Amino acid sequence: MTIFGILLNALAHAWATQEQLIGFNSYNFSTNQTVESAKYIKIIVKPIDKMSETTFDHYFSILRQFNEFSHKELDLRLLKNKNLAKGKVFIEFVKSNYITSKWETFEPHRQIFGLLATVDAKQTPNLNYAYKQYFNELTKLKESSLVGRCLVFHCGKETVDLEIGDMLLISNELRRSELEKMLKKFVLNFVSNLVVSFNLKIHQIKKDPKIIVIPSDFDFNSGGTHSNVIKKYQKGRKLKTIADLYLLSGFWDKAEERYQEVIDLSRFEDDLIYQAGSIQNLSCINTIKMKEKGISLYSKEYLQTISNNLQTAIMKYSKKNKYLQAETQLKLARFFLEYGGAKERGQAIAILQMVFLHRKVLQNDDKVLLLLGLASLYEFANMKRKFGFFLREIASSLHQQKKTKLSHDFLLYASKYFQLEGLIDIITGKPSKNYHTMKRGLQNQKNETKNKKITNQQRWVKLQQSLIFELILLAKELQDNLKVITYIIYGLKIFHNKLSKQQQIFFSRDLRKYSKFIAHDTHLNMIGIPKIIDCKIIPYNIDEIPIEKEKKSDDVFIFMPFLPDSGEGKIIEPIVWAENEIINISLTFANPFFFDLEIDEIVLLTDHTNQNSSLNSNTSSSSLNNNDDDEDDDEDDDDDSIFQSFPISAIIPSKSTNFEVIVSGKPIKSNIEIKIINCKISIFNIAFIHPIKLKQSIKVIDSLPKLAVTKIDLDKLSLFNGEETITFLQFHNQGSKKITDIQINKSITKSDDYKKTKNTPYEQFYCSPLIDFNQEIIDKNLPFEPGNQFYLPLKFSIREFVDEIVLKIVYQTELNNKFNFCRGIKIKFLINYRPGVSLQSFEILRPNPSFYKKQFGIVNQSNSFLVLLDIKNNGNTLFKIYCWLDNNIVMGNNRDHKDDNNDNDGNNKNSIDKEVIGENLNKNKTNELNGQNNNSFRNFLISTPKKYEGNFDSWARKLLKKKKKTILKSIKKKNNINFFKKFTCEAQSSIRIIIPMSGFQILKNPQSKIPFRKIVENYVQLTHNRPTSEDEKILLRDLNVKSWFLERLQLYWVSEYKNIGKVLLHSLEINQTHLNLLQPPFLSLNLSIQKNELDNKIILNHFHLMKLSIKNNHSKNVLINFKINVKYGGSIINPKIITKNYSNKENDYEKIENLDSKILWLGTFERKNILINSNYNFEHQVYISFLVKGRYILDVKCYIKDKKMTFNLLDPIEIFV
Amino acid sequence: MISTFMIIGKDDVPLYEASFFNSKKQKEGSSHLSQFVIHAALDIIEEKVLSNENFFLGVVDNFNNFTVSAFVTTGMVKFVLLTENKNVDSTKAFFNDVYELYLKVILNPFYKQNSPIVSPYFDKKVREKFSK
Repeated sequence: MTIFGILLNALAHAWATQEQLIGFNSYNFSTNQTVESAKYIKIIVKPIDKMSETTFDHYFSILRQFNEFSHKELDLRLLKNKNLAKGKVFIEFVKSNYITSKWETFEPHRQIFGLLATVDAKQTPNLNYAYKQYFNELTKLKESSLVGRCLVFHCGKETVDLEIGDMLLISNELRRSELEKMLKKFVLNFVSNLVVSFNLKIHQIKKDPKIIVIPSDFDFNSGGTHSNVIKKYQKGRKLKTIADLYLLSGFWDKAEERYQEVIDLSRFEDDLIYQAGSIQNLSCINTIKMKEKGISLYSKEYLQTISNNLQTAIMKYSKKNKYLQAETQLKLARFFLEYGGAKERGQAIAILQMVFLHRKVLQNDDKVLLLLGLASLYEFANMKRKFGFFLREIASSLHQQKKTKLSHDFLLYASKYFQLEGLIDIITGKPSKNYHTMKRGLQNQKNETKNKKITNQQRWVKLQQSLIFELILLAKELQDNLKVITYIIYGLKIFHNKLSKQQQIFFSRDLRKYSKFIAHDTHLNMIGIPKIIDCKIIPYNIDEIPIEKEKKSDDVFIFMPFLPDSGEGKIIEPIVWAENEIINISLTFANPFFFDLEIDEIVLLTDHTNQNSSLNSNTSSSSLNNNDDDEDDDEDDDDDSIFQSFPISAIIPSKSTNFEVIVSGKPIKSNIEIKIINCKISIFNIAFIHPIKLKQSIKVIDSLPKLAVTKIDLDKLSLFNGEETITFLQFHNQGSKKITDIQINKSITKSDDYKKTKNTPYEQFYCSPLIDFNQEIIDKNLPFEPGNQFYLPLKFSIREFVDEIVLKIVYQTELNNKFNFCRGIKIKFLINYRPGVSLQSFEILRPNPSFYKKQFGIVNQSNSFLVLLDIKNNGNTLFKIYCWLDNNIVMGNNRDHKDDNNDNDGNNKNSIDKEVIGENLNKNKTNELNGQNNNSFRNFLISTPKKYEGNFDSWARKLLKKKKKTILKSIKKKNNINFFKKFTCEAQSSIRIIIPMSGFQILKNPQSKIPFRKIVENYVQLTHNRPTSEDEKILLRDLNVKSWFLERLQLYWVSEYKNIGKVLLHSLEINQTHLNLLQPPFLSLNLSIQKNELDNKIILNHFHLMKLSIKNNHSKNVLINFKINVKYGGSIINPKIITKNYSNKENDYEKIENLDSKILWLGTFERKNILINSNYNFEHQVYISFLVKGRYILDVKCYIKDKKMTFNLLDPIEIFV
Repeated sequence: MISTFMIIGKDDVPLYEASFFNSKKQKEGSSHLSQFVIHAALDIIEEKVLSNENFFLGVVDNFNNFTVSAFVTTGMVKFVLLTENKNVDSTKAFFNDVYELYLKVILNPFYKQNSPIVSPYFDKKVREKFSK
């Protein structure tokens, strides 16, 4: 005989609403735990064979409606006593799984008296088999008065009319109202049978000599035989059972009468348990009757009566059995909570706390039931936290009893009350098999938001962690791998930053272990494992970006991808994908855990819209239809044919915050807009769709051709100036479309050094480097079929100042794609220019003037010198050099001062334009050097092999003999210079170039910022760097001049390459260290006067020796006149003169000629026609005596006859006498 | 189970927790159970606070040998002490001391209402008060 524990009653309501809770919809725990619980007849409803839980729950909920029948409704014809009271029968349907209790033997309302088996004919068409199963179930219950029936749902037409034993066949065509009507009729009949069977049972009990025994009897007398002891209880117990059956059958009067008798009898027999039970059940009858009569349950009198009765029962029970005592206490508490006020509520809570203490003395089963009762009452009192606490306590007790499944379910249910609602959501959520639904993606986002809210709260960490660990352990015991995984993932998600490293590693080990056994299509919310930080589209390579052409024009070259504004590597908006071409998406992950996350697979999921735009309008697409679920589903079916994602696996290292994974895919359909909305990540054998925050939708255009252009054997050109090379470009059509048009454009990037050539002859001469190819080769290969390849030869010749050469190749297919796109490739050649000509050495010589006269016929060229240049041809090509001097050197004018030299500049430019830039350079023309009349500059260019024998004169003479005519021709022209000279230099050899220069004369330029002193005015002399004894000040001044001079000493070389016949111009850089052109004065004058040896003063009326030395710095002998001038500046004794403003002004002095009375002298102050050889000193002595005190100025004026040049002392001598 | 003191703010947010170990053994076996008991006792506290005008509610719940005492501020911040000590007066004194400390914490302009109390000074002082 099976019996139910009454304490489970209250949980029914609590869990009836939790139908979704996995596990709990299998359990149903009896009627409410109230005083009235004794009136309910329990009928078990059990599904037979394969009946789904949903179907069963559906029919169970219909049956449960029929829980109360009056005697009038019932068919009680079989009863002998037809004078029925106005009784009622109360039914409670319970589900098949329940917690059994030994106390089921105590009272009939704790037992099951009816079995309703339910069969789904769709699942179990063999009704005979179903019937057998039903019968087995019936026999298991072993209750003598048991009534059984079998309900068969979803029967077809052919089976409905059959009659098989106790089976009721219900057609599948019935509407709900018809079904309810039918079931009510059925239940009525069923209950009628039950009531009749109770009647029979009452008669049976009356006759049956069997003693009724309850568990407490064994406790009472555990040592000996109980039968003798309890024999005396027999009468009372039988009567109590009969009364209980009458109460269940609705014969309340009969029951009441008998209970009164039992109370008296049991008092006499000292059967306290039955006495207490009778008192308790009398309260039940009172309650029913009062309700029937309409008396308010809330009246104080009523409350008092009931509570007194229950407290009496409690007192009685307390002497015999703690469990029954606790049970009744709970009833009292419930009664207070339900019908009492605040005071009673307080009492109820106190009772509950007290009852909890009893659990220690109870056995396992009773303990669980007690805890269930407590939990349900706390739940009834709306104390959710207490409810949760007791659910966990129940789970703990059940686990001790090895009822692991039930324990797990309780614990899981408890988690809801510890702010872990998400856990139940995950467990109860039905897995979606279609991972491609947008709906699911959005749902996940919502869930994530919800979870986030919980995560951000300050948690009861220890409590929650403990709960999850307990759940994991239970799931492991149950071998429910999915649940193990679920709990671990949930724990990781909400506690990842609070779990220790050891715990996390333990979790990861379990994840790997248990994930092997779960189905691959398992759906769990994996957001955060791993965390997606960022997602961005990787644009095509610069060479593969589709370029949209302008709508009005078909010329592809208008749409160059290399426009400076767009910049290299910059994405051209909007991003466009070409059909059937692989695209890349960069996903950035973070792994906050202490273990590596091994991702099995990442797949991109997309949504799309068809483009409504026409070819011409080219407008963007319609919006995405995210809201309509049906459409989403439809689109999902097509998703594979729209976009193909290539799965990729990855391992995200532990504690990484920024780990990038590139996922590839391929749009398969064109003329649509694709949006990457989700990505499916499979990790630990769980696939989950993670939302991606990528708002951009990408246009997919028709497939474009794909051309690969490769440089063959040449990546970087490293050539000498003027060298020529041929390389090849390989064209390979790697796409699926044929190419109908290829156009190549070239651009050359010049280095910054090129800017330096501005406003120089070099600028005029500069020629672009050559790159040449044959367009016919390209045209011959068009149309270019997919898979084909051809080679295009490119011819390069290198020039100075070129960094790189870029070929821009634009290609397209037939103009059949909607958006009219093409592509462009940029091929870059880096140039490593190696100068062909380099200056090896630079030297300036000043040979004997007679050399000029003899060799060049130049007479009276006092300032002549030779510039020697050693030039080397580093390259492998023969080239010729044209050399000339910038005429600005000669002029001494800076081009910057154009205002002052407009005429000169204009003339010079013209001369260069006409004669230098042109193909006639090799004609060895001379250029007229325009300039001032005073310009006497001449130069010659002589070429010679570097290695020569003999002295300089000898080789120069030999050479000049050969080229005398040419040279002399140029020399004869007055004021002309030999502007160009052509040399030929063999490969890897050197030549020496000698430039004789003479007669530099640079006119004073008033606008020049360079400070000239009078003494060096108009003269610049080139000389060797040699030691000078000059005053340092003078030297510095000279250096300034030198610097000014060097600015203009630039040589430009034009080389003509033999093999290509082109003229190239090079600037020859002369390092300043090679040139140290000091410019000492033409003549150095020095005047000194010997002072008194004692006091170093000039003494009055005393002869002092005055020495004048004149040095010829020039390379030529000079004929000079000189005169010493003496000036008197006034007596220092005469106060009038002293008061004058003293200065060096000329007016302050009187000429000495008129002041004979002031000085006496021995010797002459003036001499004429003195010849001073080159680099020689001339000395002149005069004895002078000053007769008058005062200031004297001594100065020298020196005049060179040939030059008509005048020199003065740099600092006239001032003497105080 | 170990003696535990907790401050619980609005929406059951735990603001502060201090566990008091009597021995090393207790520390090793430090249990999460105290949080379960205190969490469950919150229901009773909320029940009792309605019928009690005092801040100190006395013993509100018990679990095995342990009792749960509570002290509820006017802002419904709950001080809960789970301990074996059944001396009501000392518990009350402890709560009053902690209440003073708590007032100092909430007077801090940088303290955000209903956020965890992380002040080491507060923690130190609470432990000192408990050891008394």
